[in-house]
Amino acid sequence: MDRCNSKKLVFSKGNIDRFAYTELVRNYSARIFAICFSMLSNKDDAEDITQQAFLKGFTDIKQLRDLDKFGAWITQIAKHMCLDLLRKRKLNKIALKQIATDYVKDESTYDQDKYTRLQSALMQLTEEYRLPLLLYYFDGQSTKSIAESLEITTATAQTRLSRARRKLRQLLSTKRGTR
Amino acid sequence: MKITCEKIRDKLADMINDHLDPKDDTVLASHLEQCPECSKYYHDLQTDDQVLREFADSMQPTLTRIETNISKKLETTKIKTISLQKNNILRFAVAAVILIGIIVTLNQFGIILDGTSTAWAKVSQIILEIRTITFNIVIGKGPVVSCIASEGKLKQKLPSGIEAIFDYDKSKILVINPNDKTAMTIELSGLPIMPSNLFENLKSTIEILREYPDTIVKRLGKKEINNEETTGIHIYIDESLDIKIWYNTKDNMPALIIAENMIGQTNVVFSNFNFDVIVDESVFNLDIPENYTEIESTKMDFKNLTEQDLTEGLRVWASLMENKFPEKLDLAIIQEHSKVIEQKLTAKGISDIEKALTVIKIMRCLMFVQQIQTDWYYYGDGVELGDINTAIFWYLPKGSTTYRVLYGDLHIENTESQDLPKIH
Repeated sequence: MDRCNSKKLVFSKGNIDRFAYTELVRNYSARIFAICFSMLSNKDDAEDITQQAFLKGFTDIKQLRDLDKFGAWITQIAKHMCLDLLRKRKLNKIALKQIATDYVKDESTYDQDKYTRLQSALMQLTEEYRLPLLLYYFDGQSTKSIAESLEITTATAQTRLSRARRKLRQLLSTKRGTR
Repeated sequence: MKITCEKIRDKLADMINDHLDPKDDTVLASHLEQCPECSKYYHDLQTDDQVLREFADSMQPTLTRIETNISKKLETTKIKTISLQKNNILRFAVAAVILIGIIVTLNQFGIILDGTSTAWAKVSQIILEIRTITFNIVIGKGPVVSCIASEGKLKQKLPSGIEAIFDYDKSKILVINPNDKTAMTIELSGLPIMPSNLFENLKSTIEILREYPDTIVKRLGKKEINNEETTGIHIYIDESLDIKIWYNTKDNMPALIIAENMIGQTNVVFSNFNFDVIVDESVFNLDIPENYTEIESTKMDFKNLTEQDLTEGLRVWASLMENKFPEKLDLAIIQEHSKVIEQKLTAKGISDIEKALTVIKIMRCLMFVQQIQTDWYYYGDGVELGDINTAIFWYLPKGSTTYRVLYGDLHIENTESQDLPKIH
C-alpha cells in the first residue's frame, strides 16, 4: 500500500483537490475502517463513521499543517467520531459486547458458521489486541503497518499481534468446547 | 515440557505474523514432529489466519462502497476556510503594492490556541482600540519603513525616500519618488474587506486570538526599551503565528511587537509607536504633488482575474527563476523565492515601481488560482518555461465540464476529465 505518496498528491499546504483527496481515501480507508470496526464492533456503524471521518477530513483539511501526518490526523478524527457515537448511545463495554453479539446473530449476509464465532471472539478481545489483529487483516498484513497506525514499535506490534492470536485461539477453542 | 510448549506456541504465532514456515526452523520442526498438541495448535492458528483473511476479504465490498460514496460526496463538499484565510492573498497583493520594493507574503493563519491571561486581555484591548498610529516596521531583514496609519489609510516611507500612500476607501494608491520627482497612481477596484496596513492586520489577528478561549500566553520577563521598563508576553499559536508583545509596565501601552512568521516565514517587527497622534489628513492626500511627473497610472481589478493573469504571472515568475516553474503555487513558496526574485529584479536595474508591478503580476497569478472554486492541480515543479509537451497546471472553469490544461510553453488546451495528463 502506497502511503508515502500522500505528499506528492497534494499540491500545496492546505490546498488539496478532490482528485488528490480520493487517492488519500483509497490509501487510508482500510485502516480507518479497521479502527472504527474495532471501536464500534459493528460493520454498518464503522462504514458510516469511516465515510463521515473522511468527509470531515476534507472540509477541515486546512487545519492539517503537515500532510505527512495525514494518517495520524484522520485516525484521530475517526476515533473522536467513534467515541462520540459511543457516548451518544451511552454504551458501556458490556452493552457493546451484547450488541456485537446480537449484531452477529442478525447478520445474514455473512457465512454464519464461519464468521459468527470469529466475530464474537474478536469482540471479547480487549481493544489492545483486537485492533492490531483487524489492522493486520484489513490493512496491509504486516506488523510494520500496524506499528505505523498505532504509533508503536514494530516489536510491540509483533508481540501484541502474537498475543492476540493466542488469546483468540483460546476464546475460539473454549467456545468450541461449550458447543 | 509445558513451558517449552508455551514458548513454542508463542513462536508459532510470531511465524504466522511474518508468513514464515516452522519447517524452516529446525528446533520448531522437530518439536512439532514430536508434539501432536502443538502440531494441532499450529494447524488451528493457520485455520484462524485463513478465516480472518476471508473475513477481511468479505469486507472488501464495504470498503469499495465507502470509497465510492466518499468520492461522490466530495463533489458537493467544500473545504472550510479558516477565518481570514480566504482574503489573505488579496490582502497580500495590496500589501505588496503598498510596500513598494518589498516582497511580502501573508501566511495562512491556521489557528490552534491554548490558555489565556489577563495581561493579554488588557494589552490586546489597548491595541485594538488604537485608531491613529505612527510606527516603524521591519519585515524580515528588510529596511526600516516608517508608517503613519489611520483607519483605512496608510502612508509609508522607505529609506530610499519613496513614499506610498494607500487609501482603502478611495481604493487608490499613490507612489511618489522624491529622488526623481516622479509619481504613480494605482486605481484599485473590487478590493476585498481587508486590513489596510500591517498594523490593522495585526489587530485583526489579535481579534481572532482573543475570540479563542485557549490561547497560550507566556510571560517573557522584563526588558528596558527606550529607557522605560516593559513586560513581555508571548502569545503562542503554532509555528505559523507567534506574537511577542513588550508593553510598558506602567500604562500597558505596547512598545515592541514581534509578529513571527506573520508573512510567510518572515517576522514583522513593529516598534517606535506613537499612539492616537493627531494626524493632518493632508498627509494622506492622493493628488500628484506639484512639480512631480506622473509616470504611469495603473488600474488593478481584484475581481476580474483571468487566465491571462495565470499565464503572465507564471511566465514572469519562471523567467526570474532560471526559466523553471516554481515548486508549488502558494504563498509560502513565494516567500522562499522572495530573496532571489528581489535580487534578480535589482540586477535588472529597474525602478522600484517596475519591481512592484512585476510582483503584482505574480500576485495576480496566485490570486487567480486562489479564486478557482472547483478543482485545480499544479505540477510545474522543475518544468522548463517553453516546454511545449509538459502540462504544468489544470483547472476546471466554473460551470464547465471541460478542463483547461496549461503547458510549459503557456499554451492552454481544452481536455476532458478522462484525458487529463497524469501526474509526473
